Amino acid sequence: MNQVSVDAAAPVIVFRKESRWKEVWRRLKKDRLAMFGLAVISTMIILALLADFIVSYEAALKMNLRLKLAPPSAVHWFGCDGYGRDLFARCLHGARVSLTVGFATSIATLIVGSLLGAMVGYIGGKLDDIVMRALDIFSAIPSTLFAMAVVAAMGSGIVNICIAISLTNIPGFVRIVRSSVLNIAEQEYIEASRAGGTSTLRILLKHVLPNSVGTLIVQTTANVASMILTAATLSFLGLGINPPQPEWGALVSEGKEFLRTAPHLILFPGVMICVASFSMSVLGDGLRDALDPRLRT
Amino acid sequence: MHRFIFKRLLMMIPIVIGVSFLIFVIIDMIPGDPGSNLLGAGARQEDIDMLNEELGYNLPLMQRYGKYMYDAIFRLDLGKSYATKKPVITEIGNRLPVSLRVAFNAILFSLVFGVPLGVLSAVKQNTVFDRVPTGLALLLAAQPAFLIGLVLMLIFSLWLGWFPANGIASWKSYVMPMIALGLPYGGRQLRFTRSSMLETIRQDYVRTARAKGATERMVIWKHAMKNALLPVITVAGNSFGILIGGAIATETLFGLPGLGSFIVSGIKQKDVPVVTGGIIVFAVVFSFVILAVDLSYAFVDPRIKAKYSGRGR
Amino acid sequence: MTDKLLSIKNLSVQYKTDLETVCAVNNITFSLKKGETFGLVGETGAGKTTTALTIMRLLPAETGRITEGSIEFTGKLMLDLTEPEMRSIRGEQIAMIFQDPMTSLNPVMSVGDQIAEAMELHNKDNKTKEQIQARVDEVLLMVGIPPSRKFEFPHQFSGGMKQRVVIAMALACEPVLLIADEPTTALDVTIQAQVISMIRNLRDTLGTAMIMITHDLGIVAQTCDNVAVMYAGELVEVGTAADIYTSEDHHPYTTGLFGSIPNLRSKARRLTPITGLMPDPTKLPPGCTFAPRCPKKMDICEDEHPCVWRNGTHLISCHLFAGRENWRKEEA
Repeated sequence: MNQVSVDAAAPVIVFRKESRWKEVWRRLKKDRLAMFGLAVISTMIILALLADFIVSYEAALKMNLRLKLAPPSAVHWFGCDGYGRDLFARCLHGARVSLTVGFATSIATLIVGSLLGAMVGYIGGKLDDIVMRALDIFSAIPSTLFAMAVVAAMGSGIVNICIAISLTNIPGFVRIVRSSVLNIAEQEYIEASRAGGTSTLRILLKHVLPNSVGTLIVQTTANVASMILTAATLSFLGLGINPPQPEWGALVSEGKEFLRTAPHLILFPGVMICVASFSMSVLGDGLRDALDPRLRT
Repeated sequence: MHRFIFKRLLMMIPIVIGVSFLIFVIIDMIPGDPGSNLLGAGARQEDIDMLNEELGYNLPLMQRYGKYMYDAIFRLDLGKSYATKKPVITEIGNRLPVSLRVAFNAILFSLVFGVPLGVLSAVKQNTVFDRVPTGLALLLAAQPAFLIGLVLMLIFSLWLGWFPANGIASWKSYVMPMIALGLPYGGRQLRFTRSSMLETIRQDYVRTARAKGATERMVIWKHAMKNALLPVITVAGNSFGILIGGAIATETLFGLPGLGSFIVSGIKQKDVPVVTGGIIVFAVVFSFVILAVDLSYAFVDPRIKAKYSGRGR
Repeated sequence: MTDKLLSIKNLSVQYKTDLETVCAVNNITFSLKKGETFGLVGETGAGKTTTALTIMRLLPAETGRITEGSIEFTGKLMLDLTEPEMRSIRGEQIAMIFQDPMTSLNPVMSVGDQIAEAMELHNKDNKTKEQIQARVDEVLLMVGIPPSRKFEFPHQFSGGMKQRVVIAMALACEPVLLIADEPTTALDVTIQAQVISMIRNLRDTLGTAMIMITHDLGIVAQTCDNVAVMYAGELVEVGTAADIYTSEDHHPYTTGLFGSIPNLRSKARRLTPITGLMPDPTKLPPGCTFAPRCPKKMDICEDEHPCVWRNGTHLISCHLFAGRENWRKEEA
């Protein structure tokens, strides 16, 4: 938004341009739900990063059969699981895994997808055709199914599921960046720019990137939420993390055996999943509205 | 119109081939040959080798793929499960309907739940009728289906005993999976219906209808809804992929003998034919569903219909 | 007077949001007789559409507010009517056509259905389906569209044809007043001429009164009996067509408007636009709203809002006419 001030002495109109990002931030701040999401997810991230200082990793693995299925208490805030392991410690370290998968895969997908999209959009031609066909095929497979196939072939483990989930989301980013590139490339000022000697990289950075950055950000935040869920689902199915490494979905899976006697075992990690996913969704929505107020409904 | 349908079906063929090839290649990376798996550890090496030869194990990748697809399409043979030694296709045939039934129920539930509330929240924007459903939808859409399923199981199976937690004894077995899957999906539908409706209400032709003297109710039902629901159909179709993930987990959780749980156990047992066949079938069915949704869109929107029938500008 | 069809007095309309209040229409007064065509001229943002929507009471419910004034139509006080009463008037006694034909029609309903709907909504004498369809055909013929096309959808028509459909829809119930909000602005120039000519013929045949809202002085000259010039939500000049086009006396804004029209025969090398921009409707200047841009500005213009001066049928709101011969102050 431009702010207009009319100088009283002489009829000169002065425009002060507010930085785009400051304005986005200002709009975002107004969305209380989004700010709530931001606060929650930031807290979770901080706690996850500091996990080792709060509760050691060993505590998450330490079995104590006398405490088997203990309900929440002053010592064990979330109670204990079927092997007597402290659930709070497991949830906290599980946060590390779940959040890492969510964020790392999203960022990796963003980078790879954008680069690929930029390349493909810019070079065009045969490469474009081939890549788009390939993307159509990838999009035709439901992401969880594909992730399952990759895990089947490459085995479980945190790295593998990260790769698997990333692969399914890359087509989305490629499309966004590619269409942005195609949009811009048609504009004449690119011709002029190129005629003036600007390198391809500079064009991409200066023209294409700013155009699509909004959509990319929104898509990335949405992806974090969905990736946390997919990772949890995979772990729940036993196809994700390797035990005894804690991860929220895996914790829920372990807990379901004792659903009747110790429901807290599924509730605590379950709530973690919900809250993380919800916070990111709400934040993503807030960002989307803040970036383009016209979309606001 | 028929040409349009035919063209789309034709376009699906390379996609189906691509998808099946991709899955085949990936699963192929799982170590283990069919001979040893089918005949067991105690079998003689010659027998193993013979079976492998027969099944084409030693052929190069492309030929193996070709053979697989040929067998699949023309002989309806997807190989034999390593675990049960029985034909994969039979088991898939038994299990696919269960999965489809669960998915279909969930979609129906989500539409019944999500669309009316979405319309309501749009029409009564910024009132309590808007904030509550929207908040609820946001919350629900962020849940994994298996979690909702577990909570439902806890309440309705273990505490109240109304519905069975396992198996497909009767129609009752399908209720909780339907709700577990349908709620998050419904949440998404609600939000999308709401935003589509809000956008439609702002359109000029709605103003024209009001200027003609139409009541608010007519404006909503006759003019706005028909237009607003069009994109909802497409989104419902596109989100179907997300539904599948939840469906697989739900099947496993509730012990339903569906295709999803079949694939999961296949992966755990490194049962290559099961996994390959299962995922490919699932993916192909999925593509057909998307196609059906696209086609239905063409039927409902006269602009698209005209485009593909050749009439109109 | 009793032969007045529509009489608007001291009408003011605001749009109020949490952030700001937009004074869209400020104390306007004008009236129409039966069968008369009244032109409302002004630039974009002057408040013309808001005036039209206010007559129809179609302002956005959350933000639109009528802060003062009255609207009298066929003797009834419009602002006191209930919503159901307004609904029976809309489309039947007063019809409106909007600016952009591309988006004014419902894309998923056939044009025939949309025209029929206008009649079905006001079916007091219980016409049968056949009678309604016959009328649809009749009305389509009137606007020059073959009735066989009534089953087609809006996207199958060109822009000009779409606008004709909109006009047909508006005239279906034979309203006594038609409000046309920039009916040809979105159309090609050649189509514009056709549509205007058609509107004129229909008006002559049916005797419909019309408010023609436009920024095009050419259209006003072709169609209007009386004209009002609107600026920043106010009527700065009102008069017959003769007053506006041939009189020597004008509000400086009107002079500016006429002067802005490019003239093929003129030897001038540059166009003479009116300098500056219309004032921000959330922060209207005190005194005369046109003062900041007025070439004939006097000191009094910045401090005191001008009152209205009358010379026969010609009304101008400007300090320049205070005390001028033949001009008398108009009492509010």
